[in-house]
Amino acid sequence: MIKKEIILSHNGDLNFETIGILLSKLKKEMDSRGISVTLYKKVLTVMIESLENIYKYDDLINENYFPKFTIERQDNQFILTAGNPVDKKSIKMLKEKIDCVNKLDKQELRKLYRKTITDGRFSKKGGAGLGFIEMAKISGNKIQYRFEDINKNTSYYILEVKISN
Amino acid sequence: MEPLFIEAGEFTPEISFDSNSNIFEISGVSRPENVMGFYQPAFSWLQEYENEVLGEGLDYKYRVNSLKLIIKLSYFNSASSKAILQILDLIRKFHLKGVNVEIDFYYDEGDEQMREDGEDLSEAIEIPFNYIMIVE
Repeated sequence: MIKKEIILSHNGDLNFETIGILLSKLKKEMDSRGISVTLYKKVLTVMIESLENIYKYDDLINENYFPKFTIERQDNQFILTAGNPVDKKSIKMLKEKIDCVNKLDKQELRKLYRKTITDGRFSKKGGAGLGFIEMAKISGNKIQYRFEDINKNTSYYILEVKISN
Repeated sequence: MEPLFIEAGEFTPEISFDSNSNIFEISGVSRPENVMGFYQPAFSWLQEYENEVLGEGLDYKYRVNSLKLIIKLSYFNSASSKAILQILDLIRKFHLKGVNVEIDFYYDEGDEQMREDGEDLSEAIEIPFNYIMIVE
């Protein structure tokens, strides 16, 4: 059985300050394990983008379903999992953005990134999917996601990104 | 013109724009809660600087020969990319008018991501950067 280690775990609402605290925690955990700068920066970047996405799309206050974020390590791979309740109306757009970046290779993702930052056409919530582009580019693997039904209007959205050296 | 100086915050960069030395530096980390709000003073200052430098009545070449932009960020979120690009856009105007513009882009040794982000910004703005690796 391959050992899986939990590096970081958070359950509950996320605000700007909480994200800051988690980032500090990450640095501490990475330093104590002697993780290379290269790998640390990759994990840090994906972590920021996924947490800020939760923060951006977490427009529902649901008593039973909270945002969740974990980083696990398995061999030389870091697995980031982010979850939060979303309005079902957001599903189509999220799927489109992730499916789009999952189809592209690294060079195409860099091209899309450049195009997106110069285009200036941001979604209502801002960001224009830049976060997903960054995540896919850094990971080199497909971003995994799923939506679990909560009720008529809400789903729980789970995102998983794998990062290796 | 008064220099612009914004002290670094825990998640916001130091911004130091000096119209005497013509060296403009952004350093630290960048993930402001309100990105455009944070960078607005920098945009406004550069706009004012441009009005002075390219102001009427005096050949701009006698005002500013060259300027240098230093970007030395340990990390920046994707929302910050747009703001940094906007600053680069403002700097680019000088370049297009014949002012010698140098852009130094720093990255930590081993941080390939940051180096690539620099290359992407450079390509988006069509000005070559000097890439400088920070060795611990």
